[in-house]
Amino acid sequence: MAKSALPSGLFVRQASGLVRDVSMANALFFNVAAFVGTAVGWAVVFYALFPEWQGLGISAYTWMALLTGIACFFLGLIFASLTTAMPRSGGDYVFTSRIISPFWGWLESWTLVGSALTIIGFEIIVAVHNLQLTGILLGVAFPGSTFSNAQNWFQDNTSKIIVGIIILLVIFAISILKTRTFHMVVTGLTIFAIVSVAISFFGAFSIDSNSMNAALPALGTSYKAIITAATKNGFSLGSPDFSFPGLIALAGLVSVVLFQFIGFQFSSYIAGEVKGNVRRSVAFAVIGALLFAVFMNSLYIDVLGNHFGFNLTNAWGYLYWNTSAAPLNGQPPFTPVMATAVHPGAWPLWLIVALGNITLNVLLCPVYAIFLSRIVLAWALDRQVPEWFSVVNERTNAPLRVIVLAILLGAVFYVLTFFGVSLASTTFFGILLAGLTWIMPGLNAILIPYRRPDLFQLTNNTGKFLGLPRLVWYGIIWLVFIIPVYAAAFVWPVIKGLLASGSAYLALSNPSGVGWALVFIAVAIVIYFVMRYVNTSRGINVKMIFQELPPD
Amino acid sequence: MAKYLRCYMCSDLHAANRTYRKLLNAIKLNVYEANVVLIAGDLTGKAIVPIIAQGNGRYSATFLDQDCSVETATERQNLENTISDIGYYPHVADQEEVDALRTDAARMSALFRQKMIQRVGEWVALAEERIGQSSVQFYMMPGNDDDRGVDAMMAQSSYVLNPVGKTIPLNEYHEMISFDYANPTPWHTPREWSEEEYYEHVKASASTLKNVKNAVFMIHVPPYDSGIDTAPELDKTLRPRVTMGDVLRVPVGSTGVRRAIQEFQPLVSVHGHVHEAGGRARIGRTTCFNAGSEANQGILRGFVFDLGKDKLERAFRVQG
Repeated sequence: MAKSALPSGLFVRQASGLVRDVSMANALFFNVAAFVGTAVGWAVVFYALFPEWQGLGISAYTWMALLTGIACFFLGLIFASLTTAMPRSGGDYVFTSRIISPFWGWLESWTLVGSALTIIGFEIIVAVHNLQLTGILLGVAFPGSTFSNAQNWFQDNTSKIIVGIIILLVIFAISILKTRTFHMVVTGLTIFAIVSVAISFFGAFSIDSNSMNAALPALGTSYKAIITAATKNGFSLGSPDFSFPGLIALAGLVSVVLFQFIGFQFSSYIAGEVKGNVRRSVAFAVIGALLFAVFMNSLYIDVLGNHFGFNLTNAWGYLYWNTSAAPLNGQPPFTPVMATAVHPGAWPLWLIVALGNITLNVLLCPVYAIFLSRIVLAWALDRQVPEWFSVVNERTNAPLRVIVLAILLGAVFYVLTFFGVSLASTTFFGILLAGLTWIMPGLNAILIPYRRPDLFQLTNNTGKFLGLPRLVWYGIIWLVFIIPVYAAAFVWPVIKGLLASGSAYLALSNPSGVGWALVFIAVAIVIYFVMRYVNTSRGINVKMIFQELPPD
Repeated sequence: MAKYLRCYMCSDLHAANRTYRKLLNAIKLNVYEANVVLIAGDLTGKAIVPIIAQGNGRYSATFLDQDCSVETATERQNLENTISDIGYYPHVADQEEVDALRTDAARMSALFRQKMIQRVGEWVALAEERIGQSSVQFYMMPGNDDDRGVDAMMAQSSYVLNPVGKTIPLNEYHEMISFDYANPTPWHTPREWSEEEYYEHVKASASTLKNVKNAVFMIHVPPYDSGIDTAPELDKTLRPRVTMGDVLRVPVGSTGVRRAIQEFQPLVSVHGHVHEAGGRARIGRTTCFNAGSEANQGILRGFVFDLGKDKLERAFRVQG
């Protein structure tokens, strides 16, 4: 054998070996496709969810996005490190069940699955809404055409159901594609969405607040009408506020940012399929997706906000979230529509932006279905659920039953909106449930050196700083960030609700969704102990399931 | 007889010391409560890592893309253990010998052979030490990747049994026949049969069984297109074919084995060979197991299955 054919320092005897499926680039696109995606066209709409202000010319939302980005950087490092030690599909479930306890691993991942299902439902709602907004865009470009009436589309349940079913069929069709085709579709569509982001970002520079205000009559409104209506309903721009209520509001903003960031770490849930250097691939994919998320929620949103008019977008957004008096029959300040009003001739470009927005909305669902299926697969391997759930379909190389179930359950959350469950409630319920998912990675990072030193040695992150392992510091930094945010954004509203309404706040009919969240958690606990009993009765030593056999 | 005969099977340990020690401890601690242990082939490793003497008692090595430098005997031993744990062979040498090995394929081959036989010898000795006094039947079968020299090493043991070429009575109801070969591979490994040869060998051995319907077939290569034989498709340079970031997969099992299983319908067949296709499949009344392998990551994958008088009572996929 020629000398040059040999890698330095290692003699390799050729034989069959283990090859994993997912490349570094696949993992990156998987993460990007997992983003909620509404920020493409809806970016400025999120300004108005909490009182907004600008400091040093930068919006409070952007400040919080930058802060969240820094914290999430450490979360990303935690995921990359834990994935290195446990390069298996299942993500958080695998980590927590091995480091802390099977019960907490189960509960964390169960609530994550619940949260993810609500997001699938959420995305179907948003996709339907974005179809309407795309119709409105065409109506603005072609006054007098069929699309001029788009603002009145989907006002009844029948039409919503029909469009929802069509979207579900598209999601289903993508989800059951052959693995190779699935990755091709995800990659292609994600690139298309990224192109739409670029068009939107650079296109915003062709617009300023004056041209925007001048174009508003084409949307049947005016700057004055929007500001007046919003002010009448209690809208005002704030100033930097670090009092207790101000900090609570900022925590709320962070929660919205986190909602936009969800997904940047999802490649670690398919780590068992990542090929090559798993740590490097997962770290690249996680940090790469995080950078994209930070861009979308900082520079992108502020460039759009400032060019379309900070006051205007905030006031319009306020009307959208808090009243039924928003322009265009209650629509949000969807920037592709606004930009088309300014430059009607450029409608094809803004149509691409609107379609890119829908693409990311819809694409999230099959990506979530795949990611959920890996969690359930990990459950089944640990006998937390019957193996029926994890039967791998040979054609798709994925647990097809779980994928179909995930889409159907996401559809249930969509249908629930017809029975009074609001978009905001669905979101709140989802993120409330995801609490453990936000907190446990930090605990895992802190505890792994002490509870599982064998796994800790495999993390490639064993160096120390100020007497503590670096990984422990990552965990501490993440928890210092996320616990106050979670407490302020989610626990505090629950406490306020309980104080105001008592036990009625927990009723299933209460639109907060807290009662349902408790039911969901109770179901998890019941399933855990039932499966524990079933396993024990089958002669399985349940403790051994989660332990590594001692070699010596 | 007990209600059932509990068997534990794993495969493709590929010289991974840590995983093998886990297996022995699992038996010693009786965590699977197995009466019979089956290792379905491929015992030896795939690489030698040279630990190069630098003088003054210092050594250096490149291992898993990292440069290591050790200065004490304890550190060197730890490095050797780490290399052995993931299934590689440490080899202490000076730079001159390493350079010579790089250019002398025959010398390299001889060194590999020596290392493989030595490791299997160590494994046999360790099994005798840890579980040799137990009542557990311990069958260790070579696979297509293994040099023939390992057979002689196993033959010296009075406890570890190489079942190849024998009809083994597991208990009064169940017998086992075993096959260490694979169907042709792109790597031209030491033990390969054509598909027709494979079928004929299985057929000949099956004729020695009292009741083939109650038998266990331990066959290193899984049956073709059974779902437990799916592996990356390779191009002419033996690299996985990737399209748009996705590795293409194809069945790589043996058509000869499949034909034999379809024809003789044993109770159970256990396999290995295709690491990434662990799972179980049914071919007619036969349940086929492939434990898969992540032995080089320190993970012991296996199946526990209980053989009743004339049926498979239950099966669990396990890992440790």
